[in-house]
Amino acid sequence: MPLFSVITPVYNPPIDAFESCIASMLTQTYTDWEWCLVDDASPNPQIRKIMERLARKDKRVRIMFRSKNGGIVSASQDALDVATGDFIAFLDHDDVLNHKALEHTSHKISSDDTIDYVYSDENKLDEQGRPYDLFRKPAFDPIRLLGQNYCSHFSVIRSTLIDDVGGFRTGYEGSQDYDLILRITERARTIAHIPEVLYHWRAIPGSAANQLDAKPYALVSAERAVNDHLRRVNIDANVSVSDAGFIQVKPTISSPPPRVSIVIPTRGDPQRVWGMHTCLIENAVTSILSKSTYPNFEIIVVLDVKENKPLHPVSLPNDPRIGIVHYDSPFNFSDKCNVGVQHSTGEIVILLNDDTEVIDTDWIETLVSMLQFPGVAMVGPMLLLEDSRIQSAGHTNIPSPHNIGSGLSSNQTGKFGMFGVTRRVSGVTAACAAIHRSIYEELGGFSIDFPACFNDLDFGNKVLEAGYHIVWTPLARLFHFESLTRDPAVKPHEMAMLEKRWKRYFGREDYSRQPA
Amino acid sequence: MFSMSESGSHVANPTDLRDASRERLLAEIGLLQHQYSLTDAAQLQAQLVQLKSELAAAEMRLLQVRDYAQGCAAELGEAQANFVLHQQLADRQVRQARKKVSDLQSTRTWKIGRLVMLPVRILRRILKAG
Repeated sequence: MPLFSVITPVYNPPIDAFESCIASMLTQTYTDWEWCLVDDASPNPQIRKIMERLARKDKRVRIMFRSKNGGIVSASQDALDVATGDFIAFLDHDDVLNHKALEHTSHKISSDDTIDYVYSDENKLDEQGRPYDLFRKPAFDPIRLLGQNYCSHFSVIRSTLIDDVGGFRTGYEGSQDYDLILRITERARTIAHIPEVLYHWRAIPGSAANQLDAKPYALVSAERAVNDHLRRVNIDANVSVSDAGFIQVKPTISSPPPRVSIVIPTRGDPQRVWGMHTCLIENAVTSILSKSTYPNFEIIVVLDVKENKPLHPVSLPNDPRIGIVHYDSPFNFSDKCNVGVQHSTGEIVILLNDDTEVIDTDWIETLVSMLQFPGVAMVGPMLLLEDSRIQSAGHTNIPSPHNIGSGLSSNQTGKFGMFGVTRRVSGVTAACAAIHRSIYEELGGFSIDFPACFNDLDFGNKVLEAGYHIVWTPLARLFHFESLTRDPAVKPHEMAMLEKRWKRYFGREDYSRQPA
Repeated sequence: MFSMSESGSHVANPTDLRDASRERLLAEIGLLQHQYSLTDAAQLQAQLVQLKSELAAAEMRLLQVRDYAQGCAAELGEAQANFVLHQQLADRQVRQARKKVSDLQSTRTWKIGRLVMLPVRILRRILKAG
């Protein structure tokens, strides 16, 4: 069983909170631990007395007192220097550990010798100590980690690995833990997630748990840490900070930019959009042509015809980038997508519904950019309803497969930034999805066994089963006037087929465990 | 004597052209050029269209076969997951049954019963051995 060294830099915590923190350590059900507390010259003399009393009471407690305040990085590093455990755990001076935190962690570590880093779910405690904001975290997601330090608490790292990366670094104050985690993830053999709340993060005024802008310097450090990380892992990317305080990373697109084929299956029929009688395909194509800034794309419109004549009059702009493919078989959305892809020439395919409209001019650049992340096969954007509420922010399997965030406000970043950061998901809707053409073909495209519904869920599962990743990004946005062109009712045989293939994943979710 | 003017479309037999006039030969050459330039290109074009459509159909079949293979793999995965579930259920039921038996055997009633039946068991063994 591993020896845990719990590291706690102490600087003038509220006495009550500090006492709770101490109690949570002393009541751990797992007993093979040492606790390294370093007081960073707290002005309150009572802190010193409490620490000395604690060290006398329990021999596993090791205390140090810095003569001069050196900041959290120096104090944490001092604590690391005296730690002798196999694994290092991090506990803030005013936070509380679940009494089984070390026991659960020990079990997890014992299950796999290659685990170098473990993190758990967490919640917050208000000033009265009441729990709130339960954060059900995703399985390890390196793309989401670029946008926010979601791993945070409770983090436990193999001590030899911390030595290898050199521990905490000065110059990253406020995001020193983020910087350390990023460096750890670059070298860790296995990163494990414990889906249990093992850590209670106290939100007191001025603490980072309470508000993001309490520590603006932390954001500057975070951006620097992410830039450093990207340099080390050889990802050339454009990094910025969003208004909501998330890091936005867009990998640079190779030059010349890859050819993109936008495939739009359509019947060509008109519907009412924003009160106007609108031919959906004309509206979608016009918005793509007038707004998109990507230099190398084509549009393949797969148009339903009967006896070589369109079902509805369609008048598309006269543009060499537009190609029209006639489709005269019975309605099958999947088959239409496959036919469209077959007639396209791009290395990257964007499947797009005709009831969509572009919002962001760089939407293609963003989708293509996200496909540059290693292992990513499919990317979906933020889709908004006609009234700007969210239509889809990816798919989740909990409790059963459905769109994330449907009907919620798009002005909010959602719980724990789920609508504000680019992240891995279990699927994205085919209303707009960018896919590497080679992978689309490798996986057999869309299954014609799903003519109307679930074709995207099925394809997403095929992508994941093949070992690729699916990413959703809020940095590209389109309107999706959902299901205007067809009956949204689910055919029973499609549900039966979905269950026959993928029922084992219903109710199971690695990435979007947090209810929106 | 010669068939060109008659048929208008067939080239004459080369042996018939042995003593043909220059004009006749030029006319034959023109006919040949005409036939090969038009017919052959048209045939090639038609063949190309045909091949393209066959290729497209083959590509679609390949895509569908790949999807079918993926679907079969998914169904197999589903079956395996079900099998594991059922196996776990069966294991649990066996464990519960064993526990019930062991609970039963540790009751006083069972122990007294065994004691009462001991002479009968001994007698049975003796009879069996005899």
